[in-house]
Amino acid sequence: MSTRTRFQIERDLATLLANFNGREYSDPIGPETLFFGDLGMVSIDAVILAEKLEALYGQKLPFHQFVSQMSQRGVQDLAVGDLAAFLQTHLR
Amino acid sequence: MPATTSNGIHPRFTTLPSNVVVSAAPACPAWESELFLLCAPDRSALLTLVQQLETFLQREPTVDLKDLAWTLNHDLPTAGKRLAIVAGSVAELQKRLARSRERLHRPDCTQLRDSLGIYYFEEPLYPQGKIAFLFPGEGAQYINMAGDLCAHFPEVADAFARCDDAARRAHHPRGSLSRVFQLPPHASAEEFAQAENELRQLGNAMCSVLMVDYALWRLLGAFGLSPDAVAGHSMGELAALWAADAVEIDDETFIRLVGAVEAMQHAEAAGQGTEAVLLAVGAGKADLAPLLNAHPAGTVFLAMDNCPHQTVVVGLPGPLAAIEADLQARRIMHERLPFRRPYHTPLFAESLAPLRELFAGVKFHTPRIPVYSCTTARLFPHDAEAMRELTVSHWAAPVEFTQLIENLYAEGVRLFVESGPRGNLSSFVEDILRGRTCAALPLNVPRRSPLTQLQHVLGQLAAHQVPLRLDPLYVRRHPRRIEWMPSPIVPSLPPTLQGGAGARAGVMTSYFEVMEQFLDLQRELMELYLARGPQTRSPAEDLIVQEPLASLPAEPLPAEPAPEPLPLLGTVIEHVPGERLVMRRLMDLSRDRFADEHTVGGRTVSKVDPHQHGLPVMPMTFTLEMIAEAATVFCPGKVVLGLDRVKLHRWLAFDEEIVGEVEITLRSAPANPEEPGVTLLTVEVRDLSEKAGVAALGFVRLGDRLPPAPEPTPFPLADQHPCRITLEQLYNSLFHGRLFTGVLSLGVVGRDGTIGEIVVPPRRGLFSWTDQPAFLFDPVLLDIAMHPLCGWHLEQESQAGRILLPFEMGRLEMFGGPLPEGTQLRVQGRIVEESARHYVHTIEVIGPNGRLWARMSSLKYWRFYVPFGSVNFHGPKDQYFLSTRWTAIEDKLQQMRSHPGPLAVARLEPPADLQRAGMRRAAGCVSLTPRELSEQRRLSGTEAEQIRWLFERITAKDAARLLWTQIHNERIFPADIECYPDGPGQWHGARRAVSEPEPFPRVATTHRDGVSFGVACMTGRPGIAATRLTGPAHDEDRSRLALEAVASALQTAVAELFSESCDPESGLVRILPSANLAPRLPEHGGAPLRVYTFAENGYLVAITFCEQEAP
Repeated sequence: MSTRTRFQIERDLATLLANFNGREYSDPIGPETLFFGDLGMVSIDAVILAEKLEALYGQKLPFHQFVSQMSQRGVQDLAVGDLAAFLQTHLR
Repeated sequence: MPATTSNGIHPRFTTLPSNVVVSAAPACPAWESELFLLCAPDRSALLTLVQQLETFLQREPTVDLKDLAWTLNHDLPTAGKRLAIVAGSVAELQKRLARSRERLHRPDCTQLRDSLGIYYFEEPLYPQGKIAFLFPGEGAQYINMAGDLCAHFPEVADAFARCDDAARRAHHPRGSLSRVFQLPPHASAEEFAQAENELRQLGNAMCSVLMVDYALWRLLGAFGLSPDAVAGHSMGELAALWAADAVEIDDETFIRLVGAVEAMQHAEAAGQGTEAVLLAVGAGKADLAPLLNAHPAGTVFLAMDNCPHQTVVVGLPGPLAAIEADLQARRIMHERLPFRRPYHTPLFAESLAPLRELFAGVKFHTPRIPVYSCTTARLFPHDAEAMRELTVSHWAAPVEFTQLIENLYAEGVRLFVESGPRGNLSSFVEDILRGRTCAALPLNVPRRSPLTQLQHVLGQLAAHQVPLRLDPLYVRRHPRRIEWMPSPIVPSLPPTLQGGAGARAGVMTSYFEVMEQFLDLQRELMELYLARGPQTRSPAEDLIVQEPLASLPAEPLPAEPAPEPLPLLGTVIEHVPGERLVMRRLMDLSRDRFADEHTVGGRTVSKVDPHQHGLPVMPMTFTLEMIAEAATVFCPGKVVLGLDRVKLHRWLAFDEEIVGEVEITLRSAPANPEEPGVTLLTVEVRDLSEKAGVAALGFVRLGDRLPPAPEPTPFPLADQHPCRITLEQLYNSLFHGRLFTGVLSLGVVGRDGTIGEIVVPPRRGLFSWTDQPAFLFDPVLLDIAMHPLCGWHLEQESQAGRILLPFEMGRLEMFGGPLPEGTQLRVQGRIVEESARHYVHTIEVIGPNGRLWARMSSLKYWRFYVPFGSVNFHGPKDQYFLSTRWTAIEDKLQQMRSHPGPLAVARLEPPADLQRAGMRRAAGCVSLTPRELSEQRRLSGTEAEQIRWLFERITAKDAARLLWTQIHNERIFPADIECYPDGPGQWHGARRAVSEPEPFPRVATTHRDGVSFGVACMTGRPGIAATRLTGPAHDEDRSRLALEAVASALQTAVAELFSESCDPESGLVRILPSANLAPRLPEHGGAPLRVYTFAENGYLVAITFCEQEAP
């Protein structure tokens, strides 16, 4: 159970991703926005993002589970909503 | 996706196996996105530009994005602030422009780096920062990597074709490499998964990545990019060495490489050698050290130190499992890799034998570009053996990528371009250099369209001020210029303007007529040709341009094409065997590299760009070779004996910006009864880019075999003496580059002939796709065979602007094929002067066996007059001026001026020959900057307007150059001066590629009756007006001209001025502004402006500097 709503988490992610790693993204970021296709992120960014989210929410998160889920899904892109769902499940 | 053949190669490229059917290129669909570059001297000017573009888009929301992109991008100034935008629609472009405008308005905004595609850098990284290209290795591969880039860029298609061919010859199970990773869009999920598995196999992974690395490297080169350093990751290191020319990877080597890698793959699958576990870990070297140290030495290794958040750990299964558990406990991301052998660890040393054997047979050279080793993280050694050893031992040593990037950064590299798939290396670079200024640019990533990603990378490079040429994005899409800027002032022409040199009697006038004959279609010749041709054709049919056939040709291609692809062969458009063959060939400067070595106008054109030359033109001998190659398609199995009665109507010029096309039509002709064994064909060559104008007509002779080589004709030579011209003088007078340099000695010259020695030069560099073109003749050697005769011409007394261009070849007879490089031959040539305009050469080329290799008879030349005294028209362009310096006027001005200062006055009466369209293009190539040349290309006015455009500009440059040389004692090339019109007849110039503002002459020009006049000064506002003088100069004439001169200088109307007084003795006229105008000239104190008028050389000239009369 999380004290933050799904919507709030999505807003957190949108703020974080609008200016991430020296790169901006000026279109609106919503649950459908894709990490690789839209935001132009690369694999290392996932690791950095994980660190930033752990710092933001003050807890360790099982990102390695999330990563292996991602690689199981093959080369499909990842949407912001997917990450939000994961966070909602695991945030205390 | 545009249609491709089954092996992914675009149908336009004809070097295909014979079972592939060729069709004409399809029409070009719009691209998913375009790149837009805006460039302005400073940020506020850039903002103005952004706003202007926004205004334009509101007005024209249906504009073609490709046309707009090309208009903006093709003549980019070298200096200034740049904004790059990638957008797929007008709406997106508008949004991004608006965003740019909002951000750029804020002074605290120092950069724009938006993933959507907006890039701006207040402090660009180049040229202070260097560029490195990084080549990924195995692991970077993915299905459909590089996407359809090979359909859009011949560099990629050629690279793929080459590697695929090598793989086929190495008996790759799939028959090609590209088939391994290219899947059609409708593939099922199972097919996709299967393909991924196959691609993941070590051999396929390595070779396919290497192939894409190489192809993208070629593509980057096409954009004019060249790195300051290169490096590769694991297998990618080989690509880096290849790119730097440190290794020779010819087809044989590539085949052996594929074989060696396949062997590695089999060993991997069979589990041979030490079995290992490989783990990719989401942590850095420092974090892993304690975990690794907990295990016995030699059991676990850090195989790859990729970046602070990724390493690869390799070791024996037991210890690795323990490490895995450790990582799990610490919640550090990790993943097993699907490989079983201990790559990049000492455990792999036992398996190096096949690699060592492979590289023993590979030549290593000193790299052309600095190559950094991924093992040592430092430069590769220069010694070939040491290089070889390092390349091999890389496989048993860890990949020190982090240290490599740190070292590159320390060496000043700031821009990292990843020439390969996936973008892993770029993300490593970003991680390693986090917090430091740099740019990591992946050229090809899985989740973005390849063209779009390419545009993002090019956009960022451009925004960082990296010099680029963007032509490859447009050169095959026929873009059109869009008028989007508020329209500039168009100079108004005086009604009496004529194009020619006017009332020049005698030779010149009659020559003008002769020129008309030469350069336009000769009606009587055409009719003669039609009468001679086969029966069932109407003249009208021949003159209609054939539409490209979208469907298959009437008959399949002949079963036996030539064993090697003929380099000048085009695409079959129509083939009725035995009757008619129509072929078309593109004229692409980036592929036909020889054209840049044969440039009308000369070679030394610019100091800023030593590669700028005159107009690249297809040498006549290449046209002959092209005809002969087409003839072999018409008559397979027969040998071309030579060509007859070939008439050349216009030259085939190449263009930097547009790919041209020629069409060759061969038809069977009735045999000559005196030569029954000889098959005769008629040939017609048309230049499709010049309104389908006929370029050449003639006959081709074919037979079963070449005749036995005859003895040379006896060659008595009266008044024989050693040639007095040196080789240096010879080549100074020719416009040929290095690849066409082959005269060993000019031997002896006589009254009507010469004997010289020539040599077969290296053939590498003639074409972009092959180093050994499989010519039928040797068109380079045939051209060189004509050069010794120039020695005879240069010895003649009268050199007045001697330019000889061939217009007819009576007969070419070949007795042998291409000879090895370095073969020496003798040339004996007879020269007959038929008239002041007309020379005939007959040349015999004698081979090392003392017999003829070729004979060219009745080779007819026009002699052109470009009478600038003893000026060598083909020489370096900073050594002479087309204009005449008007010292008489200059001297008087110096005496009369109230504010004396350095000045120059010039006058140019362009000769009729130089005004013809073809010569104008050549003159443009050697006098204009690339930006101006682009503009000349797109002029759409009348002949007279275009003539004026060019020659007034040349006069302006000459005036500026004369003055500059006088002040600085330094010569400048006209092509190194950017001339910007401030208004009609008003110019400010700048030295090209000098970004610091510096004082430069201001120039005023005028043009009257085909003559241009110019005045240059450093201070004051110049203005000039002139007219032909047929009698004495009257006061009214002087005053009228004086008004024009001041109007030009002040950029105002003549009606706003009036003449206060005119002194007929001195020629001084005083001009005052009207009451209307005076308030708008704040610096004007009410005193009249001085204008100096002169009656000289049949002209009345008025010159002013807007000096005010002293009270």
